Order: sequence, then structure tokens, then C-alpha cells
Amino acid sequence: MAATDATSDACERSAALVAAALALPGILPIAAHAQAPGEGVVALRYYDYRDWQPGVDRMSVRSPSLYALAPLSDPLSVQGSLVYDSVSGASPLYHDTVSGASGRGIGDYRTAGDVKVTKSFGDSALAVGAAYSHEQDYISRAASIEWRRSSADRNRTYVVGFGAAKDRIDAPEGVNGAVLDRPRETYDYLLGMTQVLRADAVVETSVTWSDGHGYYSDPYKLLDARPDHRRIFTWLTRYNQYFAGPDATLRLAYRHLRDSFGDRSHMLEATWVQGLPGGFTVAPTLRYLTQSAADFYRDPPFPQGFVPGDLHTADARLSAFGAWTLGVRVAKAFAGGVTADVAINVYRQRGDWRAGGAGSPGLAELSARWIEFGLEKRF
Amino acid sequence: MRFDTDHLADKNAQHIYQSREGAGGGGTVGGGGCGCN
Repeated sequence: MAATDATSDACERSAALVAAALALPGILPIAAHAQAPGEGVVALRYYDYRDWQPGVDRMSVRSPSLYALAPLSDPLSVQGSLVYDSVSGASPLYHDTVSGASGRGIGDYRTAGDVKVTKSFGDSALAVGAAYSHEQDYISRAASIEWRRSSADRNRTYVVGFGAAKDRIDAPEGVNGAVLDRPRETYDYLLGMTQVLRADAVVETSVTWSDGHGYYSDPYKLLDARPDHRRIFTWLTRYNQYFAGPDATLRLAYRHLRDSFGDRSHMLEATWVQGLPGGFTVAPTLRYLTQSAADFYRDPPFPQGFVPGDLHTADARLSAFGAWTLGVRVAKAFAGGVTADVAINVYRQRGDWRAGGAGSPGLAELSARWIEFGLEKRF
Repeated sequence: MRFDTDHLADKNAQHIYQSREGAGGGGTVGGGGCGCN
């Protein structure tokens, strides 16, 4: 009996821990357990992106998007989003001919949507999702299933997920010949855990394994020939720490990625979410990425290193470089569960910013900036 | 228990990075592909 009381007390203390963590700004913005969220959300967001290289404007994207989450009944909720990208311009200098987001050239677009239904069963929740994305030369259809289970004290949540995507590439104007109705299939496996460490600290870690087969070459880049499979391992860890003194939360993230193309990357991101009087929040962000080149990437001058029949790419995205992002988001909470925010991010990648090895030579640095406006209503 | 801060902002950022860096993602499944390689 005494043991039962002790267990009960421990559970109550732990539940209080989660409740305390939930009450802190920025620690656990979404429901901190496996049950369906109790409140609905409608959010609108618009972003304006453009990138450039020295003396040359490259690509610009304008993108409105919509997100909604609705609790249908106590154990059941549905959420979904829609996005439309309008793309113009060309991809990075060197190695390319015409191109846009998918290499298609001026006037490309992307429409995408996803929906997820979540049903709770006590300490567990099962989510089933579907996603669709359409570009002029690319269609993607995806489905996913995700199972979460919380510990009895709600301090720990495990997640297991599986996703499958079936894509179609259709580029009759490909520069290496027409690419017609070529498939790509990808299967994703996820294993993760979230742990409330203290009332003011939460950590999450997950590994993702992605196994893809099909067409990976870029139809708009000359002599581009990539493997017909790609396996990607990703380890992502995030840590949130609240500081009562300044009423702020530090968010840290680290991601390691390695794949069968030969890419190796490390990403570090830090965000400081500072609460201010009047319902304002300001959140500066700093992100750094370093990546190695794919095994079949060849340095300029193009087509140096090209051997007919061998794998080859001169795509700068598969080169070795380092990249920094500096951003800031300012949000204002209004009465009635309404929040508005504006954010700006500035991004730059350069070969000589790579850490842990030499960067790829001969590439012009790439800069980008994106500005976002968001409006959210909770009910 | 999830770390999502803003569904749309996170997706936008992920899409931008994925279209500018060798590979991206992690932490989710079933998001679908895009032509940005």
C-alpha cells in the first residue's frame, strides 16, 4: 500500500513537472503528450524568398500557405496544410542551363498539401497522414503512419513512424534527352524519444532512415548522372531550456546526416526566444551547416572529370561548403488567441566556410534572404 | 510530446534548406518529395 502511495505521489509530481513545462513560454508549444491537442489552430503564412550570386540575381519565390488543426472529438483531431509556390529565375551559376526550383526555368510553380488524422488511445496516439505535391515536371504522393506512446508519468514519449512516397518526374525538355514519366520511391523509418528533464528543460532525439530508389538525376543539368538509389541516415537532437530570470527560452538543435551519395553534413542551430512586455516575443536565430561533396561531384571547370557512362554531377548543392543563416522573428500576441509575427533570415554559403575539410573550389558564393509574415488564431 | 513551434514556418525553412543543400530533413516521415533534388 505504501509502495502504491509512493508510486502515485511520483506520478503526481511528474504530471506537475509536465504541467510546469507546458506553462513556460517556448518550452513545449504543442501538447506535451500523446493525446490529441485540445485546441484548434488556423494559421496563414506568406514568405518571399530570393537568392543571388555576386552581380547576378538568381531565383525568387513567393509562397502563401495555410494550416489548420481541428479537434473533431475528444480522442480525434485532424490537421492539414496547403502551400503554393510561385517560382522565377534560375538556379546557381555554373553547371546549369535553364532552371527553377525543379530546374524548369522561369514560371515554375508548386502546389502542395498534407493532411493528418490523429486518434488517441489512453497514453498512446496513432496518426495517419497523406501528402501531395505537384510541379510542372514533378508529382509526389506520400503517406505516413506514426505511433506515439507516453510513459505513465507523461515525462517521456516514444515515437515510431513509417512513411512512403511515390514520385513521378516528367521533363520532356531535359537537356540530356527527354525524361518521361520516371518514378522514384522512398521509404522513411523514424524512431524517436522526447524527455522532460526538468520543469524548464526538454530534450528530443530521433533517427530517421530513408531508403529511395528511382530517378535522381537533374534533367536540366548537362551530363548529370546520379545513382538510382539513395539511402539517408539522419540523427536529430533538440534541447529547449527556459531561463526564468530573463524570461527566455534557448532552443538548440543538432543534426547529423550521411547518405549513400557520399554526403556528410553537420547542422547546428541556436534560437533565443525572449519574452518582452506587451505580449511581444523576439527570437534571434543562428544556424551553421557544413557538408562534404557527393562522391560523384566534379569541380569546375565543367566538364572536368566527366567520363561517359560514369556517375557525374556539377550541381553546386552537392559540393562541399559551409553555410550560415542569421535570422530574427518578432511576434506579438493579441487577445483572443491571435498571434502575428514577422521574420527575416539571411543565408550565405561558401566553399571556404566548410569545417572539417576543404571546401569545393571555383564556385561563386550563394546568398539568400527570406521574409515571412504569419498570422495565427487559436480557439 | 513534440517540438514543433510553427508548422508552416518549419516546413518553409525545411523546403528552402532542402532546395539549397545536398540533403535535408530528419525528424519526420512521409512529407513527400519535391523536384528541388
